[in-house]
Amino acid sequence: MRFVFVEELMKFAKKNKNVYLVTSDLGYRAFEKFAEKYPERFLNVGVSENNMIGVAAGMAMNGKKVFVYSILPFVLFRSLEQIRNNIIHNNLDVKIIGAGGGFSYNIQGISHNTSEDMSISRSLPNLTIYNPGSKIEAKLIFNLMFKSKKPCFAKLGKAPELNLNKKNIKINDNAFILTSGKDLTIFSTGNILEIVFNAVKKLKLSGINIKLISLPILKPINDYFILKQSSSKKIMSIEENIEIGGLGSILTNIYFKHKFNKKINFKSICLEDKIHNKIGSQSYLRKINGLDESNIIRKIKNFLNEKY
Amino acid sequence: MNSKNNLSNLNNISKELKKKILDISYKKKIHHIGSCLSCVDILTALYFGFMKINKKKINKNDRFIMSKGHAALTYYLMLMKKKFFSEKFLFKEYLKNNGKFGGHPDTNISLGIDFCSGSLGNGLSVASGMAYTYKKDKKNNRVFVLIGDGECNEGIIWEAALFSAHHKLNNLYVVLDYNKLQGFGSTKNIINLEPIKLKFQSFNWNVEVVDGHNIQNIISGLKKLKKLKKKPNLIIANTVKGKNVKFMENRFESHYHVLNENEYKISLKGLEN
Repeated sequence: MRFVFVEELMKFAKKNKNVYLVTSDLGYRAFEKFAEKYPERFLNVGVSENNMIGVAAGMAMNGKKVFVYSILPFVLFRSLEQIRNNIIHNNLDVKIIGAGGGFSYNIQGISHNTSEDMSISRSLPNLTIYNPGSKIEAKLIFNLMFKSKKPCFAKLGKAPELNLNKKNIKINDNAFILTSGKDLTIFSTGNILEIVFNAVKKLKLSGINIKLISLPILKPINDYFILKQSSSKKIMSIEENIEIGGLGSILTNIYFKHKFNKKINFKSICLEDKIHNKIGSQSYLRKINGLDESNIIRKIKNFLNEKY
Repeated sequence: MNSKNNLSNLNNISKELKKKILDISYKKKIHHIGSCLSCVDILTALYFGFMKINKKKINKNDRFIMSKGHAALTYYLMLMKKKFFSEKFLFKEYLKNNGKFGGHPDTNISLGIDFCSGSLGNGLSVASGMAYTYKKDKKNNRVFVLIGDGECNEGIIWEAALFSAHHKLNNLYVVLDYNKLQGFGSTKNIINLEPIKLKFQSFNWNVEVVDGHNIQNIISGLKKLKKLKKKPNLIIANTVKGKNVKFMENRFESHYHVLNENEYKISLKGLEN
C-alpha cells in the first residue's frame, strides 16, 4: 500500500508546495521517486522517531503539511507522547503513516507486528484514523487525507487487489459495502479484509449470503450508518486487533449507546488479549489466532447455527 | 545593547521580575521557584537584549520555546513585560480554573507562547523543525530554546542535536540553564553531563560558555555565536538554582519548596541587597 501512497502523494505534492515527506530512515525502495522529484521536500531524519514527530510539529507550526513515515509500532508506540502533546494537542497538519500493522511483518516478531494499534490510536482525541483494506480504499483515504488539515493516522498493510465487481460496491459514508446478503452482516477493516472477502465468496457458493462492509475509516465513525446497516439478525465483526478498543468494541458501543433494540446476535472475531510473540509467517500467525480463511469460515458457520 | 544605560535597564528588569516571581509564588503557594530564579537573567538577555519579539509583527518574530516548561512563571513574566498581556491579566489567568496560564505553558501565539511544553526534551526537537523550515523557506526568523540540565538526560535532546547539526541549522540558538541540579540532587551524582561543552562541540555545534547571571556576558556570548555560521548554537549558561534567595541558592529542594510568610519576607530583603 505504500506504493499506492507514494504514487498518490507525488500527484498531490505537485499541486501543493507545502507537502513534505519525512521518514525515520524507512521506506527504502519506495520513496526514491519522491526524493528524486522533490529533494527539497523529502527529509530523512535518521532512525529517530521521537525527533521525527517533534521536527514535523515544528514544520507544521510553520505552515507545512507533513507526512511522517515509519513502521507502525515505531512511530505510534514509541512516539505516542510526541504525537499526543505536539501534534494532536496543537491540531497540526501532520499525517502519520504507519507501515504494517497486525501480522504484516510476519516472522519479524513482536517489535514489528501489532495487535493493539487500533486500540491505542482510537483512544487519542482529535485524530482521524484510516485503515484501508485494499487498493481502492487506499486511494480513497489518501485523497481524504490530502484534503484534511487535521492530525491523521493511516495504517498501511499490503495492498490487495480485491477481485471486486466494481458495479456492486456501494460507497456510503466512506464505508464500502462489498457484498450483499441477508443471512449475516460482517463489518471488517484493514489488513484482514482480503481473507474475509474470500471467505464470504466461498460461503456464497454454499448458499450463505453475507453482507460484507469494510470500514477504512475508524475514526470518526458514523453511528447511524452502522445502525442502518445492521439489519440482519446476526452481526459479526472481524479484525486483526484485540477486542479492547477494536472494531468489535466500536460496534457494541454504538448498539448500546443508541439503545439499539433490534433483536441481534453479535459476535466479534479478533485477536486474543495476550502477548503475540509466536514466530511465523503472516498466514501461520493468522491461522494460530483463528484468523485464516478456513477458521473464519468455520466460525461464521458455527455462529449461523447458534440458536438465539 | 551597547550603552551602560541599556545594561542597567536590563538588570533592573531582571530584578523586578525576580521580585514578581517571589510575590506570585508566595501568593499562589507554588513551587518551582528555584528553577524560575535560575533562568530570569537568561530570558531577560534573550527577550530584551537579543531576540526580535514584537507583539504586532508575529510573523517576523524570532520564535522561542520554553523547553524546561516547569519554569513557566519566568516565561509568562517575560511575555508580560513584552506587553503581550498585562500583569492584571496574568494574575487573573495564572493557575486559575479555565485560566490561560497553567503550571506548564500551552501554545497560544497571540499571548506570545510559540509552543507548549511540560514533558522534558521535546522543545528542542520542535524548535529544530521550525528552524529547518525557516532555512528551507529562506526566512530570517531565528528559533530560540531554553533547556535545563536535567532535561539533557532525555534521548530526544541528542536526537535533535544530531539532526540540527546535520542540517547546519545556524538559525537555532539553544541556551542551557546549567544550574547542575535536578530532581533528586546534583547532575554530577545522578547523570553526569560532563564534559557537556565537548559533547555538543563533537556533535558539531558552536558552543559558548557564559555566566548565566551576567546579562552582558550572556548577550556577548550570543553575539559571538551570531558571527559563526554553519552550525547550530549553544550557550552553556552557568547558573545558580534559586539565584538571589540565599537559603534557596544551589539547593535542589528549591524545586519543590513553597515559601511561608517569614521566608517570603527574608527572600524579598535578600533581593533588595
